[in-house]
Amino acid sequence: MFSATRHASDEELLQFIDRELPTNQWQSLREHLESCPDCHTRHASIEGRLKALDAFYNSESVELTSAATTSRIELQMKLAKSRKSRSRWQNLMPKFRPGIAAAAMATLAILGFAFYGGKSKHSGPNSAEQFLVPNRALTPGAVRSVSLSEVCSVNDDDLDPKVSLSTEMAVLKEYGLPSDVDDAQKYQIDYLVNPQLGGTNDIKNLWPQPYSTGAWNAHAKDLLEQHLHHMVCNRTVNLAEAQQEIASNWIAAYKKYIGREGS
Amino acid sequence: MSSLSTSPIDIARRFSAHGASQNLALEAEVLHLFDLMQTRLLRYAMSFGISFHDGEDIVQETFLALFYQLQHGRFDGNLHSWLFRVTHNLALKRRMRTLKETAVSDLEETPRFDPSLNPEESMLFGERYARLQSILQALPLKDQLCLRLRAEGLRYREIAQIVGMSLGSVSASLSRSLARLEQADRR
Repeated sequence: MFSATRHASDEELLQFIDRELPTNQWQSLREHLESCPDCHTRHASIEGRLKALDAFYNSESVELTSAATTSRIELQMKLAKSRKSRSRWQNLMPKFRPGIAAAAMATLAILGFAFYGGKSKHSGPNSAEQFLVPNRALTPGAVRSVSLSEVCSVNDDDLDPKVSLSTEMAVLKEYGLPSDVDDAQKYQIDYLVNPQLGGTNDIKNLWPQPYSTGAWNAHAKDLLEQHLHHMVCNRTVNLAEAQQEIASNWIAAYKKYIGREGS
Repeated sequence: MSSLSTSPIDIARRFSAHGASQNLALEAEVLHLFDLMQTRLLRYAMSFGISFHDGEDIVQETFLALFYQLQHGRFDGNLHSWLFRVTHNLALKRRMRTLKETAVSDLEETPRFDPSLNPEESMLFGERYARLQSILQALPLKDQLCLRLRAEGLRYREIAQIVGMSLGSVSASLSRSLARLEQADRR
């Protein structure tokens, strides 16, 4: 390859410096440079020029860094905007997602209740989706007089203590649901305001919450109840405020305190 | 040759799920990469003769594009090279648009020097800098870009891909530019 009569061109020396030559040629040129003073000098000259160029380009970067912060903030805002618009777009995709479907159903249920709430106890179909949130006319929520220390000293982790069979039947009946065993098992007679937050077992605080309606089910509400109890005892949220929020719309409260979708 | 410590494939794998928390974490990762690469990409974008603000816009667009790619799990290339390629394409488009409106010479930045130098060094460096800058600016744009990308630590095949030329042409371009610099030094 390289020899006493075959010297390296400038381009080959450049490729040697940048390790762009095939391995065998690179080795051969390395050996050649040790024995050829002319090529050695030429190599040093090219290397020096490349270093000067690197220094030149690096010196440019110094002054540009000062503007970095503003640009970063702008990018951060654009990313946040793009993330939000993407999630909106993603929600419109035809792909079935139980969480999104449930959220959509919850919205429809809320709108439905807002429109029809209180007009009739038995209007509309008795589907599980209908009871994602209770009918406020039937279940406005009921609380007992309780102090914060009382709420926080109770070590009771049963979020939904069993109500009597007669109360259970009364709740199902007022919501127009059949009270046979098979149907009743699809629902949990839930406390709108859970006892740990001062809710009572009055029928006004109970409603048939479906176990299986995607994300916004009884399990998601249990999670919210635990979370709110923790926040109340941490004094992050006022007890009355927690009671009011969970009673008026527990899904909205979930979104506010936990996140977008249920479990 | 410099390289990025974070692998885009690793990032894509880590954030392949599309949950809200993953998106937030991905956003943080993209911002971290932005911190690492912003200056270098901005410098590269500005070498097309576009304004500082246009350069900033382009770099932000590049990282928005990166965010999309990672979010969709489509990224499987060399991050370093990809960032320069996207910046190159965006800067080229912006340059074309700008050329229609203003002469490129009016847009070029005036030379500024490293503030850490003392006045004597600054003067000496300033002279060399100005001389080098005028020689480099006289080179064809593609040759200038090859030199810059090489200084950024990119391999010849990556430079070829970004600039849109053959591997041999990159090598020839670099060699030709060095020869020009040498000739100018002799004068």
